[in-house]
Amino acid sequence: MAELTGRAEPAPPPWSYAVRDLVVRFAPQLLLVVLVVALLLVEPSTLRPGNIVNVLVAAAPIATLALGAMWVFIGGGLDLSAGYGVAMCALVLGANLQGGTPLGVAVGQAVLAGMLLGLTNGVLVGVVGMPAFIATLATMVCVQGVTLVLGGVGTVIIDNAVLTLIGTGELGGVPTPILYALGVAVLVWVLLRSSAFGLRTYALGSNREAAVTRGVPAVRQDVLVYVFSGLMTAVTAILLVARVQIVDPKIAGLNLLLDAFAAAILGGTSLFGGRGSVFGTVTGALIISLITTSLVTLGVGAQNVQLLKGAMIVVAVVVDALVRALERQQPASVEA
Amino acid sequence: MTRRALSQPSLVLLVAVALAAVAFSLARPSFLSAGNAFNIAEQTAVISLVAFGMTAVILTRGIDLSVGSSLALASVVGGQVMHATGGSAAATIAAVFGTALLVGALNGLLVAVFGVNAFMATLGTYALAGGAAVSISRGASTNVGNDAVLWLGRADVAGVPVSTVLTVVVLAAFYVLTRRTVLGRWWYAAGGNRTAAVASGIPVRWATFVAYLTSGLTVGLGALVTIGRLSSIQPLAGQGLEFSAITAAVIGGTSLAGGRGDVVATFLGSVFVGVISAGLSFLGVSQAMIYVLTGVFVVVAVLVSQREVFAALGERYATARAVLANRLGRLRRPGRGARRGAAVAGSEDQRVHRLEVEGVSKMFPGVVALEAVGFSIESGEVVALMGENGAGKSTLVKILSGNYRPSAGGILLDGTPVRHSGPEDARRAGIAVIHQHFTLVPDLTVAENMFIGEELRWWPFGPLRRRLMRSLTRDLLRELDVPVSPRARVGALTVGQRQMIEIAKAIHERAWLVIMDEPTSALSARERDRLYEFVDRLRRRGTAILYISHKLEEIYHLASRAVVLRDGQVVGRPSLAEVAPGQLVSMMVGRRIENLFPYVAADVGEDRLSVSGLSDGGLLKDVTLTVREGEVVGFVGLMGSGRTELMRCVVGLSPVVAGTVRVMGRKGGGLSLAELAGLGVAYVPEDRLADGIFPDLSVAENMGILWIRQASGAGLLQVRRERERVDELISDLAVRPPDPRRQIRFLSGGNQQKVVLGKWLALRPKLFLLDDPTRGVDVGAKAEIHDLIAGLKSAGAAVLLTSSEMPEVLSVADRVVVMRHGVSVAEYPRGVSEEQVMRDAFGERAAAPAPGEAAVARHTEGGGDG
Repeated sequence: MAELTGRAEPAPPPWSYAVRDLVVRFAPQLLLVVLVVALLLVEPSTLRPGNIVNVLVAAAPIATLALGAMWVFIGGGLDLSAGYGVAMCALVLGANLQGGTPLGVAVGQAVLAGMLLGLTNGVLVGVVGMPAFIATLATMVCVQGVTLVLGGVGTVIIDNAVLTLIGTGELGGVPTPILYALGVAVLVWVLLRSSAFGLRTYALGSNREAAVTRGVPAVRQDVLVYVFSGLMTAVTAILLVARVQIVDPKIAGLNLLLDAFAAAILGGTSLFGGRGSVFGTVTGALIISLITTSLVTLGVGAQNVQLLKGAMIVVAVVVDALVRALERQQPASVEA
Repeated sequence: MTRRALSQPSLVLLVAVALAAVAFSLARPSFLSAGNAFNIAEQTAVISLVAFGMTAVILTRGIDLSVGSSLALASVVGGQVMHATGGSAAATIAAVFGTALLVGALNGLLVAVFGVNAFMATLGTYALAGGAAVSISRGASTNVGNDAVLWLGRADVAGVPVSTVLTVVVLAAFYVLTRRTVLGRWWYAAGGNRTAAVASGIPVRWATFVAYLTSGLTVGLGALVTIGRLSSIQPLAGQGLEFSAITAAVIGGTSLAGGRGDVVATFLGSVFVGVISAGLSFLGVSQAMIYVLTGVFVVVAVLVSQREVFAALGERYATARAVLANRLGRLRRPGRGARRGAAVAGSEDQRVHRLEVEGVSKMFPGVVALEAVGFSIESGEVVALMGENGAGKSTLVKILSGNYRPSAGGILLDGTPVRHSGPEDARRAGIAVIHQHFTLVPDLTVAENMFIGEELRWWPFGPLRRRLMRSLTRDLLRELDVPVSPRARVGALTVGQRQMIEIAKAIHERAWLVIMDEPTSALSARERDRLYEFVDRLRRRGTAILYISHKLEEIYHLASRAVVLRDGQVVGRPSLAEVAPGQLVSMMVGRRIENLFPYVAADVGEDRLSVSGLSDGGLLKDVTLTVREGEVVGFVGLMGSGRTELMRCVVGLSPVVAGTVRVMGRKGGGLSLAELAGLGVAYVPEDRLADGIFPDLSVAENMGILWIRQASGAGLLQVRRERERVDELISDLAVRPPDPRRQIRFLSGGNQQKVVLGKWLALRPKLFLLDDPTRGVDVGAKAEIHDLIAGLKSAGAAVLLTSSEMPEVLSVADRVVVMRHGVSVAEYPRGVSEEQVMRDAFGERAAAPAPGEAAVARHTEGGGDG
């Protein structure tokens, strides 16, 4: 009887699942490797050490902002205000430095500005209960206005020894922006792995109802997630200011935000929440930066870079949908 | 139509626009001049146009972020074509529209066909189209001198700008499209409840695809207006347009959750934003402040116009209060924190507990769900809770788990009365319920799930003690002999494994009483055997288990005693060693009033449906049955026996893997639900809320959703005829209240079900597949629905009927087909006893210890009403 009624459990070769598992798990890294191999075949000179350093330096601000975006995505939300938020924080930093404020205080104010933006988003989404898209869209428009006000003083040239070191210096032969981003990534990784905040972000994004049933404080958590995103905009702004040393409202905006979103999504972060890793997101940032940088070295005009980047994102989105479809077919059995 | 001409957000916006205009004109009287008004109109024209298309997309529960880039690309391509053709206006305009439609089609392809998330898909096309615009134009703008190309954005008719006229015309067109066409109704339906739309035979993918195409069309119009206004083609035109358009739609009350919205309100939303920004700049406010104020106004407008935000606010307030109350409760009961954490698996607490239920009654308005129920259970025993659906089992469980409070009587824990004020209290008392839907977080590991919400840390607010949590989890799983790694992701586990983790989690939370509600219904045979062993282990380590099941086999295997409920009362507390399965069944079924649902004989004619050897490759294995004209065939079986799957397979919602289906004498396999509906098939799905109704649509729109497709020439709604048909059905079915405009979600379950039936009756079908049509319906409506079925049968319809309540099917059916494990195992004429049917449905022979007793039991109750 039991044999007759039991559901058929087909057993395809285990290695095919193992391969599929690896593909699903390391899809972003595989994409990066494929990209590198393709570039080597097309034009080996694009991967000279000098160019690789350029790719890494250009990836740094994308990675830091993407880590913030990733965190919000994992929690099941969305922060559209982060792009202009970077500009706002940069302008706060610039205006303070120009006014002669000590670096520490200026940086503190920029961080405060970023977290204040995050707090606003968090209150609108978490406490008031607005859809994240609308709430952060509204704050994005507000922040745009704020950047215009702050940018009213005109372009600011930064001359600060510490920022110069962060933006253009080297430590042990490695450019400091890379170390900066790496340091931030490690901190975010530790926070994501080892704090209740990180664990609960995953829990709320993955199954909100279950998490709330288990006693996860959803409102507090939502607010914290956006505050964290605000913090990451400030962290990104500091790096950008240090690198370009010229501050105006155009220092960052929607383009940087889209690069960050694309990096997070390419890195395997789920827009529906619950999934995402620091390793993947950093890989995503590298992919975006590699495409942009090497297209320029390949002699593709600046105008076409956008087109090819757009095409890449469409391909990535479709690949992402395919990987997810693959994943759904996985055999459901994990035993000790 | 059935809606008021102006929705509530429209009225709010109209007042807001008027107030803003008055305020600005008080500050600067020239604000109200015709010239300035047209100026504002011209500025908002592009946003309004694109927002109309955006509204269509959002109605289907999508979003289109690509509109701005698409507008730029369309303009640029138009410019190239103009240059190449030497200034041909026709070719230029065609190129503009062609490009915009192409981007729309790409979006539609990605979203509707490939099923990519709309946000991601259109984010991709946003980047692609934007990049292409810059690439093709090489970043340079081109001046345009062709009057025909510039006409839309430049010319005026009798002093009124053409772009303004165009906006009004397109608004009217969209009004007609959304309110007066079949397509528009499908957008609302697909966005409002996708699965119900599929179960109504609506071509959801096609409708979604067309919505994106429509958005592309409005982008084309917007591109021409933009070119005209600027007299040039700008590769960066349309920047930020997507956000403006979405803002306009959302301020106008369009819900991002889909299914709700209104183009008139969208238009007013865009006018509102236009008036505010124009007025502010008129007052000399800086651009920066305009941005800030716009953002603030968006927040305020959304709060005022979006119903769900208000609802969420109320909900949050209630939750906050509950959490606060809980905290206070915790403060009053100290020592709880210490109990958790290190003390995993309750190894220090081996005391024997005893739960007594004494005289518990539960009254709902008009219904007595439980009446003086009493039983007890103590540590280390497995007690089966049995009874038919509707006998009161789930009400009893909800009282034990603290979700309901008893109307009378009470619960004693170790001799002291306890009062659960909520599920949290029950959990604290050590009572855990394992539901059929799990409360695990799929993306976390097993160990993380064990501790989520109560994480172990090195110090307060410190880092997590992951290794400790893992090793404690490993210890617990080893103790319970659950072969799952603490590092395994819960989402990757089988249903059976998840169930054991759920139970382990309950043990971890120091539950001594675990209530399991039909735990094996979703398990494979192997998993089921493992669960049996697991339950036995739990029992031996002192856990009490209240086991709810329909399956006699497993109850005899696991439990020592049974508590049998019927009609809310305990009818027996037998020891299973002393009672035969047949007697147990008799206890559950009892005697009933059979005439609640009167039987009417009718002339039987030819086959309407014949199914043979049908399988869907899943739960459905091998089903053979026929339904003839003038006949009601009852289709019975336990939960999960394949009743619903058969119906879904017949109506084309799941594939036919083996066997044949013939409908009205024609081959039915492979036809879509819409085609079958055309042949005269009606299908009422089991889950009314999930698959039956469109909660945000009115009664009339719900009823007309199928009829409009057949009765509307060229896709235009025949408003008056639809109205007449709906009024007729409302009075035939006695829908209460008889108000066609009322949103269906405000109706009672019985009246909602009448509307769902009416939706199909509008097509005058000849074959009805009714999957538990009286589920969750009060007795009065039940009788009405059965009168209706009897009437249909007399008129020559063929009906295949299931019900979760067996006496109901047996009293109205001409024939009964019994299902077990996806196979049709028996067929009986009218008059078969419920015991006989139950025996077949249970497959009792496999479990019955003494066949002789079962045979005896048949004769004690048998007969039916004959």
